[in-house]
Amino acid sequence: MNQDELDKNYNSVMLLDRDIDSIKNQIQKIKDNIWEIADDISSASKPVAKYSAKQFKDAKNKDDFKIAAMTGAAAVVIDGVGKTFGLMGSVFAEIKGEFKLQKLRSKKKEVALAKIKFAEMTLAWGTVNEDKLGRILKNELSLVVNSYELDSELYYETRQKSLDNYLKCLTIIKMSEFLIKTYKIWINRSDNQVEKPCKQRLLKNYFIEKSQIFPSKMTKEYFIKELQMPTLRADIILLLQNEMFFNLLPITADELIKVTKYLPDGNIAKIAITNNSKYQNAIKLKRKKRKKTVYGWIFLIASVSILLFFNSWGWWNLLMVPFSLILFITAIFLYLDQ
Amino acid sequence: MEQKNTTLNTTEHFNNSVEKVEKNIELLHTYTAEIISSSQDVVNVVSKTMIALKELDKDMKLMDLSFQAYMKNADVNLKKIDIAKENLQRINDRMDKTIDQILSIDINTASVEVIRHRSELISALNLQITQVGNMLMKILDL
Repeated sequence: MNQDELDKNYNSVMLLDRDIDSIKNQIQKIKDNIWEIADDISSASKPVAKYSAKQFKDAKNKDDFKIAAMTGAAAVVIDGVGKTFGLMGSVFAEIKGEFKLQKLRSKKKEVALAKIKFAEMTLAWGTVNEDKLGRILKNELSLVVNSYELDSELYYETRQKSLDNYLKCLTIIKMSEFLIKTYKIWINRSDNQVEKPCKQRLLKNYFIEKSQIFPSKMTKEYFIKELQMPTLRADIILLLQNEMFFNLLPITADELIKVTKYLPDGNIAKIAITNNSKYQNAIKLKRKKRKKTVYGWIFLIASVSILLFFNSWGWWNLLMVPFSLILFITAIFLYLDQ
Repeated sequence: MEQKNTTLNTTEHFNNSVEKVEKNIELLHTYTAEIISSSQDVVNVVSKTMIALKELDKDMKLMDLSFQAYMKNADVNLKKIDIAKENLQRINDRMDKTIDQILSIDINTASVEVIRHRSELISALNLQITQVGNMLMKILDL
């Protein structure tokens, strides 16, 4: 149950009317075909009408006129048959299609109501269990860990699973609410939009604001002080070990890198944060930045030195202009390429 | 003399009749050609209409089939939802017991064995919650 799955399901729920649309398209195609046939039939009246007109023109006696009139009448009848076929066929297709659409809509409504009922059950399930699973997680996080080895052997896995349980429960609640709202909107044919459940928002709302799994007013100073302790609170270990909480830390990435740099090697916080990929990325980014600055300075100093060296020969030496220019451009390229 | 005149009149009358017949034959020929041409058009239209009617019949059958498939699918989905409801109830009963057991253990005071047992219970709980989540996802996807 990750964000990709949520997105996939969100998209499939948004396509609720795809089968109804498909039937609608098929009905339209049938109606178009009927009118095409009607036009074909009507077009058959044209040569007959033309022939009748010729007969009228050539008619010399009463009998000739009679025959011409009969031929003309036949043309009118053929045209009438075509138009009647088009009209009747189209009405028939419309009625038949509408009947099928009504039946399909009512069946879909039945399914939608059943889904709502199920979502209401899962919502009730989630609401009841949210508190219990929160309590289990809080119990896990109330520990103070003495050594990283003991933590990884005894507590790490259970703590992660308790976190996963709580997160899944919250996701189920949000998905159920989403499903209920979406299907109610669909049933009522309203244009309202349902907001897509977002995991990041969930974390902030529930972990800090609502359930207070993590203290909401953890200051930077307090957090740094905790990191430097030989023992570490389990909630801080959880914050450090999971990249999803990296943005919720009361400290910037740069500050965290600076603090952990001066921690002793056996420090629990230092070991806990080492495997966090977001922390690693922050370190890589910082190194890159530092490298860039160093390269920039080296090239600047080198360029100025060369400039001064040529200058000592006299400004008339034109060689120094393109040379310095190339040097600067190379420096810029290297700088940007980092 | 009178006999000669009568013979001349008869010849002239005969000539006129032949001319008239010739004209009529010519006219008949033209009419026949036109009738054939018109009939050809009508035949073409009729055959084209027959093909289009067959195509129309095929489209109607196709629409009926799609409709039946959608209706059948909806019935299957209703059954799936009913089964999911039953499963949810069953999982919920099991979960309640597991949660109560876990909550009865305090991680701060429990012995290592009890902590390990608690860990097993949490793993079992994780499986149950995953089942509920998967069920909800499947229902969403129906």
